[in-house]
Amino acid sequence: MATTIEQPVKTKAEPELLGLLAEFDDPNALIEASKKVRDAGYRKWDTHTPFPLHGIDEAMGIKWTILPWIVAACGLTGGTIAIGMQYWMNAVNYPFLISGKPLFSIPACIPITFELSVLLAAFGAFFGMLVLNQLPKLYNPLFKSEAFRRATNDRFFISMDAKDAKFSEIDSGEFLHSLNPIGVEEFWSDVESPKLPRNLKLALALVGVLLLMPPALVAYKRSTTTNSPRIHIVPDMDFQPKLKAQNTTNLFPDGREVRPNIKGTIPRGQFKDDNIPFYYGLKYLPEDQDVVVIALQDEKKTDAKKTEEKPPADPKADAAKTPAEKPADPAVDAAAAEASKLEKLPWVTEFPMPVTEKMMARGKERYRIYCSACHGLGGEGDGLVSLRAMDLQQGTWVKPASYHTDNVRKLPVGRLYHTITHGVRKMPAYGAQVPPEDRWAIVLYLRALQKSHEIDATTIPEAEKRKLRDTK
Amino acid sequence: MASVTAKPIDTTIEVPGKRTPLVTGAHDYGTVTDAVCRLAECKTPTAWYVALGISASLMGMLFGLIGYLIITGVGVWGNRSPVFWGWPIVNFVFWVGIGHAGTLISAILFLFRQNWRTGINRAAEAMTIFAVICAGVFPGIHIGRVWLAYWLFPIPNQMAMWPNFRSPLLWDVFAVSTYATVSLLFWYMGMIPDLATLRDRATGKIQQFAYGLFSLGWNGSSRHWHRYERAYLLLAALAAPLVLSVHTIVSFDFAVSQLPGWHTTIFPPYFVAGAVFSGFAMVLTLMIPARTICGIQDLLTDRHLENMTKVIIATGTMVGYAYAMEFFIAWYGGNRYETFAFINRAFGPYAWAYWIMVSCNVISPQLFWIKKIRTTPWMIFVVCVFVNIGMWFERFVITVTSLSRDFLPSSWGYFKPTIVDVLMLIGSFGLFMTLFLLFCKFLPMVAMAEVKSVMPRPGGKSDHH
Amino acid sequence: MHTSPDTKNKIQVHTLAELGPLPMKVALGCSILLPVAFVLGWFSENGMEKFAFSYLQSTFFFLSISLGALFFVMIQQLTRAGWSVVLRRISEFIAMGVIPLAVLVLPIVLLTLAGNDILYSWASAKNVAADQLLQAKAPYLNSGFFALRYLIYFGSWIFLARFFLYKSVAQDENGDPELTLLMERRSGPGLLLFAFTVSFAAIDFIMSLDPHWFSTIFGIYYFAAGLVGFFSMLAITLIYLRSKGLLHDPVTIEHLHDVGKLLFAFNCFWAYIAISQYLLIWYANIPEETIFFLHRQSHGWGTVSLILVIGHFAIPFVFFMSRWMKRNPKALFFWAVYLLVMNWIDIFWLVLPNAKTGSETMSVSMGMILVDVCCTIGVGGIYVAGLLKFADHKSIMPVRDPRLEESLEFHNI
Repeated sequence: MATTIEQPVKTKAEPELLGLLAEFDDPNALIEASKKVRDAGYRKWDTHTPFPLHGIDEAMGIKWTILPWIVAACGLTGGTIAIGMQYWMNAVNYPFLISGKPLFSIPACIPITFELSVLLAAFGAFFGMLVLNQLPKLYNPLFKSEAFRRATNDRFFISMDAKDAKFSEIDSGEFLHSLNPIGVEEFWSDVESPKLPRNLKLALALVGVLLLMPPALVAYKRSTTTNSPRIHIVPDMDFQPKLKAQNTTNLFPDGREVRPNIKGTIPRGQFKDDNIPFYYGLKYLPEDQDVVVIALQDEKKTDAKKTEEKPPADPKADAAKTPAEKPADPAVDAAAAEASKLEKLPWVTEFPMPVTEKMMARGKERYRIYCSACHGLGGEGDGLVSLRAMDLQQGTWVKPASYHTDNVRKLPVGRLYHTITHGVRKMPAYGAQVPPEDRWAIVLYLRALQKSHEIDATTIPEAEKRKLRDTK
Repeated sequence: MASVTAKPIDTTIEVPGKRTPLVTGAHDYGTVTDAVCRLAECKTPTAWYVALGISASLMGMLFGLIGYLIITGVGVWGNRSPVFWGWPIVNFVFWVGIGHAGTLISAILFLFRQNWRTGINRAAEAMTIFAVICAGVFPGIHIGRVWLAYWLFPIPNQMAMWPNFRSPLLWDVFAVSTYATVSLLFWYMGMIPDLATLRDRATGKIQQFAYGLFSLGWNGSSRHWHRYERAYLLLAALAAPLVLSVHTIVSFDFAVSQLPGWHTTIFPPYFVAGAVFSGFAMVLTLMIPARTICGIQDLLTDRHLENMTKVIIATGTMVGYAYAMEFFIAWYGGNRYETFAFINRAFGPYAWAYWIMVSCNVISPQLFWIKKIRTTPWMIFVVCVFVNIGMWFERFVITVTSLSRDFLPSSWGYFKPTIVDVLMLIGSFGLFMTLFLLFCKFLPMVAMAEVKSVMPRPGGKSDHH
Repeated sequence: MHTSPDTKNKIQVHTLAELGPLPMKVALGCSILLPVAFVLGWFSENGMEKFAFSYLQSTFFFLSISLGALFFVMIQQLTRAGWSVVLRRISEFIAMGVIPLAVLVLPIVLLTLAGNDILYSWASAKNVAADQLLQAKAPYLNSGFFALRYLIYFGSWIFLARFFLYKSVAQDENGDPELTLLMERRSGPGLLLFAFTVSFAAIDFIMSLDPHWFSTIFGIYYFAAGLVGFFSMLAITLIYLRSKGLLHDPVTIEHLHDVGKLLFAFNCFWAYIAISQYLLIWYANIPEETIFFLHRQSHGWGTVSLILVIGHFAIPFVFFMSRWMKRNPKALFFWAVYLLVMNWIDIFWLVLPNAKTGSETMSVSMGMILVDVCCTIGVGGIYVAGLLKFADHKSIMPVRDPRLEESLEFHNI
């Protein structure tokens, strides 16, 4: 059997024998024949059937495919990608809270994780099958056989590859004949390789060019600038007839589109009266509401000042002052009266929350961000802004207060809190930028700064001193 | 040789212990091929052109209306406060539901070794894909600014935003697109050997080229078949839970909310049962005329039809069970909003829709308990049309009644569709039928290789049990 | 052992009596643990609650298995299944377990009729008077109607189980194919009856333990749990009988493989139902519904919930998926026992968190588990003894079923 045949010299003119093809019309006969081919020791051979034939796998000795493992690996990859994607996109890169759900929660991940696992596993099954079968392979020498056309209809074939070590044209042919097929034929390679039709080439080139155009256009537009305004695809969506802040209108008597708060309403989250010490720095809100109004409302204060500068004094502002004193300069008078009233308010003297190490650290950090620019890192009123203003010899510059004067030391914590919230003299209000917790933390740090300036150096233990020297 | 007698036999009777053949008539492998390929190879009948003409014009109307909608805005629909999910979502759920039968037949019945599925699976899978295409249209245009639809997918965009993965609507995007992709793969993979058959029989250059290209050079190698069968089994095993998950996730769109009538835990299995129910009804509605017109009664026998009617009774009864359970728990739960939602469904302004739904979905399939109706094709056809109507109304009832009357009586309303709504639904049928007609003409309508594999072998022994 | 009257097939008829008296003795011996559990309960803190809930859990654990069997038998008849004929008789035996269980559940019903609220708070007039919701639900949740429903449920199940067993046994004698057709026709309406009775039984006996809570999927949940229990039990029984030489030849690896596949599939189905219920309640976050899971996340129940998520679903899903596990009898036996235990924990998780100490959920404790395990073994002893009694001298295979040959030759693809 093991006769080797002489390899024909490869020239363009001579076709090569690629193998033999035996045709059967009965599936059971094919299975019997296959067993014989297998037992004869052939390796490079195959059977071709119009439908999956039960029992042919054993008859041919086909090994179990590794496809399930490919599918499992793909499925696992899909699941991992899904979980990672959901975590990164919704909890890390673009975190936002919705419908009270955590940024990342397993139950909400289940559906998409499942879908992507299945999707990738299905790709694994389909493309894995194609790759293992070496498909698509549109050209196959078997297709030249007229008889072989029935391999997808009602006939059954054995094909034997000439590359098989046991193959010989004569012996193998005889062997195949002995299996009682309907017929045996040879199949040969082409004399010359088939050429792609010219029209097809042109069509493919055209499609390629067309496909390239959109990305080219995008790339061009992204790398150039234009003077023409953007195109409004849906103008009625882009220019909606509605009122917006900062615009004027004839609809309302005051001509503003933005509407003031309705009297007696409180914006959401701005209800403060349940914790007066914390929000106001006061033990309680005094009965005399006007005093509170003056002391607590910035706008009101400036409004009152403005009106008092004019000769006909605002009766409301007058009523706010105690009738006993009435100095000549209304502005100075108002400021002084205000100051005295501020002093009389029931400021809290203790922190309205437990004082912690963490709060101190927070206070230090916030102080350095918001206060130190003017007041200086040590609170002496020598911040960089102040120093530069002094250098420039600005006449209007008022040096920021040092915390280490008796006046400031005496101020209750509530008053300090109030000052941060609403500002004092030239110092602007920080209430809008610094939330109440942080304001209290700053007050705490400020107290610590004051203490640090009062302490007697001799009372500090040696170990602490060393520590202070070592730390910058 | 094929041992089936030419004498017509009643395939709907099965003597225990003897399996009734799945293919009737004197068929062998070759004649099965001839019967299936004849459609693609013969001269096209005029009726086909007429049907295609009608369907394509309806499809054109749908596309025209979509254009109108995009230019004008979603206000052309009847979606108004409080019902912002009107017909488009009803149509979406309806079509997705129909798209469940195909993969169910191919995957779950395959895993359960129900060999009779081979006669119908190809057409049912095709129908699945076309139904999912119809379904995909509606949420796509419902988003308002269609050109921003890509925001639904996790692709980087100019605003550096990502989609919200905690939203059931986004789960839907993933579920439906995965389902469409996997169904397409499954369908196409099943078709590769049959496309090769068409390629080998084709005479025209264009047919040879097209079928040759799409059959990927399939040559029926047993080594290929081995991997192909594994892949088919694996795809079936993947598609089976997938088909459950899709309508489950569609049901989440409703059920994760707190709206009375929507938030109930039975929704996932109930929606799946309803989807299979409507899908089978649609398969029968299409296949009963198609098998006569195409002359494939031997491959798609009365037995196939009868088996499908049984699935319809089963799933129809499951749907009835879910209606009953919902009603019971609405009362038992003691939540007055929930109770109201259900009483409102049955006796409120939409009572007409509710009772159409109940009579079409629960009562009409019960007719299939009668064998006479189960085995008479035109009667099956009539019942199935009713089921299709009933299932559309089921989605209408769920969507519209709950939205139109929820917690706040001051914002109650009554939903009225516009003419655009109605025409779009009709147009979607046009799209569906156009695709289906093209499929019937150009692709193998019956899975030849699979039918051959369950035919008795010339030796007398069948492959599968 | 004798050969079937059907001389053509020469199939040997075996009965469970061939196992000897030992199984019956073991089963009856186990049943002693039921009074032991009662005594244990008597002496421990809140012991009567522990015992009452454990007893309910034990009976409904075994009931779920028998109901799963009943479903399986009917669906096989309905779909004219061929492959399963060799193992259908065993399933019919297991379905007969509803008869001993009807007796075992009776004390619970009687207790409720007496107005005792140890299990069902709605049973006592005092509780109803203090609770508006209970008053609203009283037309359904009242002891009289409850007892009537008990009769309907068990009556239907006993009727169905007896019908399918005795018709099938009758076929052993006469080999009449008409009986197969009769069972096929009856199984459709039978399944309909089954679906409603099982759902409402689950609602009545388990869901109404917390009468405020409700879930429309609950009946399906219990049904899914039952199928997992049944296929585990079936696999265990088949492998045991094969090891004793009974059914060794007719039930091949192919059949075991299919039972394994069904066990795996229904375990996934259970997970699907469980996650659907959880996800919907978790997402909507309505207090009256989340209370169910809150009870099961506190007092040590969180661990049990996690055991279910990981042990009942994740581990079997990953490791039981492979073909090898299902085709190897030893591995399949392990997974069947494992999933049966998980099913037990599942019913435990459904029932026991409803036990209260005062107004608090009772913590899961070793004492509780001990009482429950004793109770389960005790009830199980009676249950198995009942099954053996019904199986006595009946063939363990439908020897003259017209599709037997197909089943014997069955091969997976």
